[in-house]
Amino acid sequence: VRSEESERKRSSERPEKRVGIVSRACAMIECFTSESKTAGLAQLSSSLGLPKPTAFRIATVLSRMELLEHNPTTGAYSLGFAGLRHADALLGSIRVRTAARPVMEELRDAINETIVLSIREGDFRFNVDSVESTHAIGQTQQVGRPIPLYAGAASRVMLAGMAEDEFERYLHRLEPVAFSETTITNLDELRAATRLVRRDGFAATAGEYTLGSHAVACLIAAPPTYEIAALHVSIPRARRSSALEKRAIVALRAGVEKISKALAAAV
Amino acid sequence: MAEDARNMSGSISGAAKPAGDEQYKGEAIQRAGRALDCFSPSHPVWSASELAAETGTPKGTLRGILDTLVAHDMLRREAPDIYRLGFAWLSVGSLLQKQFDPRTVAVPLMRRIRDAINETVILSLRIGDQRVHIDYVESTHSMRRLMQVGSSGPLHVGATGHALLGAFSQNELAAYFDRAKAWLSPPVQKKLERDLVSIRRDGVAAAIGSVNAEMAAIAAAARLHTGECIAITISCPLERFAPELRQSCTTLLKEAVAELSVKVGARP
Repeated sequence: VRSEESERKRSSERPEKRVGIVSRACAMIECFTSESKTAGLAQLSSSLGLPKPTAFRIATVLSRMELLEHNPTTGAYSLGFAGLRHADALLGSIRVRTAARPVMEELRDAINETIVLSIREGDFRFNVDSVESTHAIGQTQQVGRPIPLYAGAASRVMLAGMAEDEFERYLHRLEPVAFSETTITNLDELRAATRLVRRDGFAATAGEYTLGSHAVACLIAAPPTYEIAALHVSIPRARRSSALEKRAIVALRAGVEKISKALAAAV
Repeated sequence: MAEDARNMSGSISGAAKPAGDEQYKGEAIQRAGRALDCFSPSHPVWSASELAAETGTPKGTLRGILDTLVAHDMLRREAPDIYRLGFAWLSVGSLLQKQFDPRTVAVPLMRRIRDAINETVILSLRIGDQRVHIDYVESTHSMRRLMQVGSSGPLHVGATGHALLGAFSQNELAAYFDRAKAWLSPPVQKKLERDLVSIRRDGVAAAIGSVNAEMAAIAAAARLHTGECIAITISCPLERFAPELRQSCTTLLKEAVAELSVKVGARP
């Protein structure tokens, strides 16, 4: 699914062109994941389909720029600190985050469940910050991964925040896939669920995107110059109860109101 | 433009040379890195022309680099020719944060300090309301500060704890003093608050014979991107802690903490 906005941005008057070597360098950075935190040269060259000398030259340049780190003892490469700087610069530029962070900490302290801030980008949302519960079991947030706007509580409140014609255009281009048994893939059901959110002012979902994770979410009302953002409370299925969910909704509503006031005051 | 492309390290896709034949010095990758380095919280949006001027890269050359970074989600195109950092960095940052060990960055800096003044240099973390020593680089003097990794102490005692408190945000400090009512008398708390003003101003905290009559310590702290506060402390026998050494320690610590902050520090 590609949003109108991103289509517009991508379809500039000029044709897109890519620089092969930069693309390969980006692909090398993408080789590192939570399952594969380090990689030797052989692994990198095989993953990228590059001859070893080429992979070596790219890895050397990336290491010089601190985008990769080379361990001379083991010969293994891992992500370098420059990535942290870029992540930090990106997070620091998300203006809603500054106002949301102290409220997220207060919410976590009040209900001891994981609080997540996500922002909308086209037809997706990205989790950009979280304050984790101190329970032994809690969901690890998938930071930086695009999550479609038809799945999960935070997505639902963003859909509910769309103007009706924008919402219908979104549905028109949507080809939903199910992430779990509870993902809503029928458009009429999605319309109905979104209407409920508009009526209630919050969304509550059960494992629509992440199996075993319940969530309640509210949209953060922000001036137009800010990002479209939502706050959600993530509750593992094993701990979920109506009483806890109600408490989370009350706390969340108060929290987003506080953030909205802070944002309005800052304008 | 075509000449730019030929001069670049890589090749434009669609006319790619076999990878094994590439003759490059990584210039295009370095240009991409320089473009990425331009973005900061205070300057999060750049136009292609601004990036070209800032990085000294011809606009035509840069365009291909920016298209590539957008394709990999390392940049976002907010409007034609207007760019922000992309969300791929969130995944990278999250991964790095999980595997981050402050020792990997701090210990080389600590070695540099030790080699310059030959005194013991200690790395400490704030954990709750304690400072915990997690690593050290030892002086080679026979009479030197001896260390035990894992030893802890309260934040309100000593140079390390004070430096760590100095790195707290105003909210954290208020919360700390609220908790500290349980163990700090009002006069001691007032004095600590006053001391922290000068520690923040000077960038270092010192304890000259105040914790241990035979020992001097001077420390500086930084806040990491992970939110942790970390301190580097130089500690030595009091008899060697002459004004010249104190001055050198101050300079070396400030340099080290500044370098640490550039590498892995949280932005204000």
